[in-house]
Amino acid sequence: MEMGATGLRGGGTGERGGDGYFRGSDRCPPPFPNISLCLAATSSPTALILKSNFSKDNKHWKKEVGLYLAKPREIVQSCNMIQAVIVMNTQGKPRLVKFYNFLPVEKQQELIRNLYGVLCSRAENVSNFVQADAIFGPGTRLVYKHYATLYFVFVFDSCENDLAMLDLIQVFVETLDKCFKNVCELDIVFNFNKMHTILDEIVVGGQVLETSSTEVMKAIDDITKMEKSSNAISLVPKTVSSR
Amino acid sequence: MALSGMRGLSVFISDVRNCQNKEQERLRVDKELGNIRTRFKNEKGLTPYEKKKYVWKMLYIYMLGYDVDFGHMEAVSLISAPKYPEKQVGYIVTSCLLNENHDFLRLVINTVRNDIIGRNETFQCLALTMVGNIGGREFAESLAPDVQKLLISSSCRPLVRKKAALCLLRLYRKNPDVVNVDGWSDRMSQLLDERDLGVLTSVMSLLVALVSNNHDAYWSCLPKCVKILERLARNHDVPQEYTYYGIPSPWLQVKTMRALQYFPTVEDPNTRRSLFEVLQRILMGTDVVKNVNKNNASHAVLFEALALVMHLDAEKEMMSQCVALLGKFIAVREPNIRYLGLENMTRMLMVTDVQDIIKRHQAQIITSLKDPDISIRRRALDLLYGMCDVTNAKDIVEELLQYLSTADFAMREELALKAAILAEKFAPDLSWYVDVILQLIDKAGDFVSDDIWYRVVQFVTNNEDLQPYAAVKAREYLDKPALHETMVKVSAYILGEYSHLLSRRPGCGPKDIFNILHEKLPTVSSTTVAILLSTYAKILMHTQPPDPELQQQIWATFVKYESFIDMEIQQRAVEYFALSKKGAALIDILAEMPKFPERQSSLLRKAEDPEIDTAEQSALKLRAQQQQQQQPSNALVVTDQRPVNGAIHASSLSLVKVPSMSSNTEVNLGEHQKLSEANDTLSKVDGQSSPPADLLGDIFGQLAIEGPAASSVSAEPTSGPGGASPRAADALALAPLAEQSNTVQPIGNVSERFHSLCFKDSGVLYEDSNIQIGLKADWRGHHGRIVLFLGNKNTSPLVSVQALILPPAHLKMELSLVPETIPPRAQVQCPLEVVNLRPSRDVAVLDFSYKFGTTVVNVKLRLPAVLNKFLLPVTMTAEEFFPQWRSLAGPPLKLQEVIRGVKPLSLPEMANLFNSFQLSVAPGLDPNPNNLVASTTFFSESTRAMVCLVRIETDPSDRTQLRMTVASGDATLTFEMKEFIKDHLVTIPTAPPAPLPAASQVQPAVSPTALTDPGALLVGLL
Repeated sequence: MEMGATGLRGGGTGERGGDGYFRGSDRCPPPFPNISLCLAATSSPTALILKSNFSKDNKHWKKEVGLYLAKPREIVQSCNMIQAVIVMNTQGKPRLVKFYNFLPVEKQQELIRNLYGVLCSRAENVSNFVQADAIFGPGTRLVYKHYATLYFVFVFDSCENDLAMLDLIQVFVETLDKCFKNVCELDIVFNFNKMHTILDEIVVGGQVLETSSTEVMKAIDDITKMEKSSNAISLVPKTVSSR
Repeated sequence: MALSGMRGLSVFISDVRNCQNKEQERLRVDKELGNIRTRFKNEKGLTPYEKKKYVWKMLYIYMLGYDVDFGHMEAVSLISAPKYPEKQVGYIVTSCLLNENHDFLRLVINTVRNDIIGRNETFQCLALTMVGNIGGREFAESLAPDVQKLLISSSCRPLVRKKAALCLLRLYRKNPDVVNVDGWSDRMSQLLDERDLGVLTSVMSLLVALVSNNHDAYWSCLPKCVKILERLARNHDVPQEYTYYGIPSPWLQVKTMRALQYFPTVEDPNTRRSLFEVLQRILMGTDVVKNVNKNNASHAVLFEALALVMHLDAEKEMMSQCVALLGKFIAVREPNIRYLGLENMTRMLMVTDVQDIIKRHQAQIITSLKDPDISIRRRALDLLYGMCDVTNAKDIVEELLQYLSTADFAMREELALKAAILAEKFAPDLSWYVDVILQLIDKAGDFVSDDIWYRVVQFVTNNEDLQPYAAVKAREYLDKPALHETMVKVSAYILGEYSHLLSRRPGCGPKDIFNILHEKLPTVSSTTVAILLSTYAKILMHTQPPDPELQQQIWATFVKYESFIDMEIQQRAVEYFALSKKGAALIDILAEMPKFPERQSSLLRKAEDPEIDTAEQSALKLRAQQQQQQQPSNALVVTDQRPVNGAIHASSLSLVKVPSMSSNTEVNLGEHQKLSEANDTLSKVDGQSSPPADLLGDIFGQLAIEGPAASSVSAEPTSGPGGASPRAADALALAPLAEQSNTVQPIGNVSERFHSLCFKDSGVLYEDSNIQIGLKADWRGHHGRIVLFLGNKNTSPLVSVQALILPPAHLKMELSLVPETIPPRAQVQCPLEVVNLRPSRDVAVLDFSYKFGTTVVNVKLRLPAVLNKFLLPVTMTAEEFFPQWRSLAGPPLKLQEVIRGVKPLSLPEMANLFNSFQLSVAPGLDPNPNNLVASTTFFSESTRAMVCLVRIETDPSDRTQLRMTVASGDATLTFEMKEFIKDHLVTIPTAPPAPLPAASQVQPAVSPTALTDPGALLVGLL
């Protein structure tokens, strides 16, 4: 499984790797296969028209913001932030879930299920953007990247730059890769706590904290030292799972 | 060994992964949860390490989607652990599991603060991250100054400072007051000189948040932002680790340009020039390259630059440069860039003078409509919709129609709606419009809302030239083998009205039309059957001289439906049958529909007011219209139309389905009268709805979004919620003037108002002829905030207004300044802060006085800051309840009393009463069904959050007595709580027992709106 910074898999839009190791790494059947259809039907025309109407005075950013505030729906509580970071595998199992505005667990799961329905119906070689209004409320945007058996998803509102978010996913993955030396899904499954630590060094409170994976690694190394010195967590080698 | 650290966790994760299905997974998780729960129970045997392990497990289970409703305390308590690993888990898990308002957070606020101000950098980072992730108002209030200090400290490492910046941002979002604008704008400006790019990125995010709220205060930051942009994009002055695929920190560039977009404009010519230079460089210096990541990064910067150029209203030259770039993008292979190219082109439409350049790319955009990626197709559709005007409407709409047959179902409705809107908005001629809509119905009937076909009918009715054409088209479609029902509806309607215009054409005689329509009858739904019946009646009327055979057929149909189960159809059948026997009179009754009044299309309105939710919109408009139309019409109509109207209403047995538009109502009434004159017996049967009115109803019923509701309003002209209160208030305001010399009497029962407010948080506290005091309260733990709304009901000012709070010893209350004068018809708000020091049943009093004319009015009002406001119900399980119950043994912490003379209440009633006090009744906890157990948390400064338990034992044979046991960790609380409950159990006959009855007792005195919101009523007054 090659995921070095240069040959990073899925660096583009669709290259999909896959070796036996990844396939079937999780044996649970995909939980809700048919969601994409019902989801598709829920996108209301009014919500869509919203998007194409910008004000004449070019203040569309702010205008849209006002709109979310006026119509609070589910996740949209405050503006200009990353709402959620979700990592799930291609069978819909969540591997990392972080919402920056608190949501009850049922709601989180519902969103993740719907999200999975949309993602798994996306073909290869398509854009990394998905219209997410129907799932996360009007004005939310969604960028995802598909690496081997994993989807990395960032949900944010329209005050963030889409491509910059995509870059951030790349930084996150590159950092994971440095941290786990050729990261694969199993690393992530068994070290989900480490994932949280890494994510916390990249995003805080829905804002980008650090964009240099070198800097993130420095911080992570410091933390690992701290942990070691007080006799604590270290990485779980991949071999555990095969036992 | 490396594994030893978290072996248990790894094994658990491994087990979960090995589960074959969801059911097994659930069993495994439940087992683990049970295990964790028992381990947490006897916490003594738990090492910090084990605690850490279990808390991680909890987070894992939570991520899998299982509710973890316990152990929060353990997670939070780890924050106070001395060692890093435990502390880290505590912080991370707390920020995932707990909501910002969770009570446990209060318990650690001091620990968090100590970590933030402490010397240990790693602890500082953990604390800042957690606070930044959770937010929390209380954090904002107590931590913001410390966080600010860290951010500007010169001795802190960048690692800490960048976290402090984002933490401050989050706190600022929760409570903007934490940043003092005056001092802070200079600080921000200094912070932008920062060399460390990590800190600078965070500071820039903070700036975006600050500037978006108040750009005036941060003007001084603008040149600094331009400098940063120059440093990055022009000088490439960036350390290696911040160069991302060769691009100097794209995020910082993007954020900086985003911040600049919040300033309305760049005035300083030098700054503006430098900025444009950089932007020009970005626009020109970006190319699509092979490496995907590099592409993404460089285009992230580029698209942000485009947005900034648009915002700054650059010269036309630069704009056309941008459009050219976008034109290039929408044709590239890279789907992300194509997507964003289309999206930004849509934004570009708002810039004047570039539409023509955009139009040159029309063909390419249409190609994108067939892109394999639905995201791109949507953007292309948006763009086509936005760029459509009279010149290209025909092309674009035809393109959309063509696409309709292959489009995904997900997009069809939107597509149909957009095509319909464009066709109506930019139709070069009306026959084209009719063509388009008919095609639309034909191709995507399921996705064509009724609004769309109603609109065609309106157009056709109002344009005589169009009628024969529309009729021909409708006839043509009927020949198609498979027809959508909407098509049946619209063609039936059009042919009913206008088929006689075609009667000379072959295949368009009345009989042919009838036959072809009649074929459809067996397969359509009842709404369509109703329309078809009307059409038959019209055909019959237009067939001159009558064709006996056709007449027989149609009559047979009417007769067949005379006993149909659907009332509407039955009625139509009966009426049309009777009417059609009238001979010549029929022509008058079933005459052609009058023209519709010109009105804005509901579709266009939907398109133009995108911000307002449709439901909201119609409600708003309805209200506005009621008020506008109602009042003049009341004045004008009373002499003339009213009686007619009234008579009709009186004769009708139930609600008349009269369309809302007044002009049409007249027509209908006219016809209705004719009808009743023509035949008395018929009018008796008919009374309920006249056929023409109903025909209109088909078209009008839903077409006017606000239509149907308005008609129901006309039935109760003066009781509209908006319309009534001002008048009612006028009446109130007038009356007291007469009795001015007498003392002012309160309106409503002051004591009842107080009691009802004890159980709810907003309502009217006091009202007399001059003033109304409304109240709205918000309680959080032992803090409370009451806002008093003092509304002057009169047209002259109230003077010498004085409000004095007489707080009991246990409450600390601070009333903000009350103005001495309340201007006429104005409302002032006076916030009152309340802090509960210790448990007590004493009540605070508001001593309120004012002068109106020469009368001085002084009232003493009890304020509903009562004991139960400081309660928060907690639900407890038997495992949680009983150990606590047992541990609180005997007086003074546990008190028991037998109470006699209790108002007899059934157990459910009593449970309701308790719930209304915020005592959460736990059903089934007590094994004896005649007993009732409840629990709650009480908040005060002395007791902090303290659980309070109550048990009531009733005697089913004598409901007037019961035994009550109250227990809590504080003797005073136990006593006060016991007395409080006793008061309410014994005094029930006089005091309203529960919110609902209380409300209904007060209601007669106050207008209904007042109960829901005092503000609303006062607004009504102003």
